[in-house]
Amino acid sequence: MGFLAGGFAMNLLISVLSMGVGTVIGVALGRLRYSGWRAFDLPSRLATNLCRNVPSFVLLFYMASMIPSEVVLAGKFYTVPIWIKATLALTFPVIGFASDQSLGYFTQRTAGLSGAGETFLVAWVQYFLIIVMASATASIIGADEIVGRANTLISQTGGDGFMLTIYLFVSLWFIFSGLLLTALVKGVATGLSRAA
Amino acid sequence: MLRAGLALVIAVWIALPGLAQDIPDGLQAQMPDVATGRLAHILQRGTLIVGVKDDYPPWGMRDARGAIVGLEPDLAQALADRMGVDLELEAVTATNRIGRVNQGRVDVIIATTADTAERREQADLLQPNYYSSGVVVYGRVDANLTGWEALRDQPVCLNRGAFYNRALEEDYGVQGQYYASGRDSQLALRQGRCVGWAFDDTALAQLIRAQALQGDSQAPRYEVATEAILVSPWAVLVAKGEGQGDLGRFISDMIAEWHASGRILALQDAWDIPRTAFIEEQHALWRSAQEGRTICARDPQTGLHPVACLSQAPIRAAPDARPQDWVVTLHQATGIDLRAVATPYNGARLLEALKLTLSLSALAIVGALSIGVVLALMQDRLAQFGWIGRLLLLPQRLLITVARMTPPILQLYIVFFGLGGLLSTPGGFAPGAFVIAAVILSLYAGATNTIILSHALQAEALARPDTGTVARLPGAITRGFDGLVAACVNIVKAAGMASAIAVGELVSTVDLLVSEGADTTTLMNGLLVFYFLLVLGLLSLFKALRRRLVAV
Repeated sequence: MGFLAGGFAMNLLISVLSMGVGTVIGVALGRLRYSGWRAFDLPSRLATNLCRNVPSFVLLFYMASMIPSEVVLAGKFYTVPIWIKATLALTFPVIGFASDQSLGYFTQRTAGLSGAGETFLVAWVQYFLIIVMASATASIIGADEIVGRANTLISQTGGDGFMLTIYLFVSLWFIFSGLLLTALVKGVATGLSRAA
Repeated sequence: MLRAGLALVIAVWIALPGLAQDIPDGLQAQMPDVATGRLAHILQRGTLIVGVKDDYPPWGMRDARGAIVGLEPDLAQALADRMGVDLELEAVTATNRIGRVNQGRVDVIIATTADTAERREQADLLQPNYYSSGVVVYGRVDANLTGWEALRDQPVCLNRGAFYNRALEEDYGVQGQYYASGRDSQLALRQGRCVGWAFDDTALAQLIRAQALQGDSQAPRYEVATEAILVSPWAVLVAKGEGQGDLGRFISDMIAEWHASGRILALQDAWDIPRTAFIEEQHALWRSAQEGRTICARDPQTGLHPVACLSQAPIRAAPDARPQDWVVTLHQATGIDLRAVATPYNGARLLEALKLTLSLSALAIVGALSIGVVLALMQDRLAQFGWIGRLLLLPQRLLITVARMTPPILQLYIVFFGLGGLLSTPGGFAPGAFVIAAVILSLYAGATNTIILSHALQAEALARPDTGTVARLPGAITRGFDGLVAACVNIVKAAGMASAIAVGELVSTVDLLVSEGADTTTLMNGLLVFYFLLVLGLLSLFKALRRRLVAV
């Protein structure tokens, strides 16, 4: 139980970091695209396209092989943890998403459409969930997260019934946190609309 | 637990004095006085990192506390002890082990790796070989499999990354179903998704023994149904270029010492593995002496082990035809290396994978959009009927929540291995992997689309209160367009996950080709370009659709 919880903490860490960093960069890109400055138009569109179109599934393999696993600084060894590589791989799609979504937001706001902020927030939470789900694939490159740990438990114990139980238990963790997240955002959205 | 395992080995060591023989002259492995290269790196770090299997009992497996133990971890411990450093074990698989040692994530691989010509090009495989195995097929006794000929055109479960997969498909005509690990292949076999599982004879012999020990008379019986083919020795791996360095030479000397002293024989006994002819022959060979001189010791002149003491050059799993001229020209002119891909066998596999990826993506998009529209309309309509409507919506809400909040890779595992097992009848092939993947991907993105559309429908209702549900749909789609497109793009990009349940789509096929020796840079970049263009095409398609929608 504690073993799986520790793994899930890793999923959350990877997701929060890539969402945070990706959103900041992505919104900046979206603002540049919206600004209509010629000089920034092409590069920001290209950057968005690149980030949006390349699957994190492929990027995971890329980061695993492109980033060295150990760096030597002043004669000391530092291991580059795999979760950092997984976080980087997941940051790219977030940048693409946030760039598109914020462009939509800026456009809708200018057009005077109501609910632009809510639309952005709802889509953002949907995407956060998608990223939490995608963090489960980090086990493919050996990140020590919950699905990887579940597989360790299964190969230790064996048995079809046990496997199904463990997987269902792990999915409960994801469902529970997803519900929590959705409830939180509902609260925030209600607060926002009341304030408005 | 590792310590307990070691204590066991040491106990056996002492109890079997006949085995723990002295080491012949010239075969004691020694650390160099001043280490260079990777060995110096290991000494400076103070830890040796060895990649081993954790799903291949008893060569490498997890004990009750989760620590990796087995015959190969014991060999790794012996290396670390002689180096005077700590040992760290990392679990690797057949598909990732060569990559991990070349990336420097592990120093050494001792993970049941067969010595093949292709692998010698990818990493440095150390001589002498330390073990040996052949390939057999394991299947149900009542399936009446009588040798390899009976398996022609039959679905056979294969572990991704095994060197013999291609030979089994090309020379023996089996229809390979690729799974990520031995555990998944075994599960798939038990659920009747293939008639047999091709794997190393060593591991399957252990499995049969374990089955005999359990003695459950109700459970279906399994047997090794074919003779062993493609017998090949196993090699310890170090990164490309390290084989002739201090690390490679030291480990080679250690392996020679293990053979000469009978250490591997003792480990076979300790782990309850029947003694094999290969290890006994190696033991005799490395002990042999002529006129008081150990025959297999390194030649003082050349510094090499005599050729007669090493295994013959490895078999090529499948010889490749000479590449076509344009492939060679392209490689020379641009560095784009398609030599391993432009063969009829691999070309056909890539094309098949491409077809699967495109059809799976198309199905998932259509499915996700239809599910989104239907469920959102239902929700909007039923919500108008107060508590009865909410009650009727309950199952739908539950489905959306579960589909959206469970990682699709877990959903695939649960439905394919868990529920699939309950649905399938023995020998039958209940819901195919492709259908399961298409449904799960559609539901996953469809659930997100439902939420986006219901929100947009509500917003639209506020803006145009006098319209009906269906009339508000175009407006709602326009409002939520970016979100819908993002969900659809996301599902196309996630289609690679279907490979977890043996759908041979593009990402996993490229990964497979790379693990078989195709050029990593060319194929991985090619894959990126392919997806870039695919999504770009998809987005322009959606853009055109939006223009249509606005025009309406």
